[in-house]
Amino acid sequence: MAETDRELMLRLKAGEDEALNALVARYRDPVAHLLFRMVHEEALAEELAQEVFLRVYRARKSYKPAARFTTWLFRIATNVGLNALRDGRMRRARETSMEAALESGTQLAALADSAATAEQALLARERRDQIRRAIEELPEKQRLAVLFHKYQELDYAEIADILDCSESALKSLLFRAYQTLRVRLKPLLGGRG
Amino acid sequence: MNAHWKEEEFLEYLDRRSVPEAHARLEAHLAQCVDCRRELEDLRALGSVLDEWTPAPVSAGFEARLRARLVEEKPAPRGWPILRPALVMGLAAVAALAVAVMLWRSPEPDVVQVEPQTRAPGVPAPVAVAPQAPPTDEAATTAETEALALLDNPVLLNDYELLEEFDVLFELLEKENGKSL
Repeated sequence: MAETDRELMLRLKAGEDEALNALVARYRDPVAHLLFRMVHEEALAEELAQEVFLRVYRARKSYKPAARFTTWLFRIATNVGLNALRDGRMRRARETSMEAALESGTQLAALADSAATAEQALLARERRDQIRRAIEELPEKQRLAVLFHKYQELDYAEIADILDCSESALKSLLFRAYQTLRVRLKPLLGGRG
Repeated sequence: MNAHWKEEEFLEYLDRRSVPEAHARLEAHLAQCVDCRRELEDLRALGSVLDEWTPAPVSAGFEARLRARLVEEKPAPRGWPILRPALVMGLAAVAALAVAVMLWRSPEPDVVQVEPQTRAPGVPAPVAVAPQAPPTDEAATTAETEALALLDNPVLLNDYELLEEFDVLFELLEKENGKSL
């Protein structure tokens, strides 16, 4: 039977550093994907995800099993992501990433088996960019609520805990965020919304 | 007709987190209310569109890079402290002083002359006091070799008792010179 997050953290706290490997294997993707959706750049998101696990390691001695591990982990990830957004790392990374995207877009179009495939790929990318922008333009708390609810599939209580609000406030945040997204993404909803 | 769905009821219904009683009531309302049905379908469609935003898989080198960063985080293992050059030089100077003291304390054989004085009858004649046998050249060389051997062995130089012996040598030197080093 797999060890629980709490058991792994207690082992890490007791000095068994290899327990961190299991936690990284379990949460590498959720943490990196959350950060990618916050900063929109893969290499930076991975660097930040590593920073999150380093912080977990540094704070292992002060870990209190009373707190749910994922709540603690995602709080750290949120802070790391927001700090990166605020200190401008995201903007610099995005400039580099846009250059790379333009280059790879050109390559994609050139290498596609057919014009139709290339067009589909570009269309899909354009849709993803619209979704990204629509979410990015939400107020910070609504944006984080959507990322945790839609993409991390955390339950209301845990998201409310991470965002430090009540469950009813969270549901209200989510509903307003989805209503805004319905309007912004109307062209993608097939005439609905 | 029941009241329209509340905001959180849409969310809970779509997340399949409605409690059974509420679920039945919501479905009964939905069967009759076009507005709530449309709202629900719009939110479902939005959910499908949002699913299109998929992140790239995490790169294969993620764990290796993290391990490298963790190694940088960990402190170096503890062991014998590495002797700094300044400390080694200091200890070498102390050892050289020790050798010098040992050599200085091996004077030529001497006889302490007792001042001639008037003796009372019955008082025995003064005796020439011979000093302690001076160390031979061989003994001095041995001491020097031992001191130098200490310098060649940094582990021994970490030995507190040995360093204390150097302190004793300092004290001797102070006494001989009549002043503090």
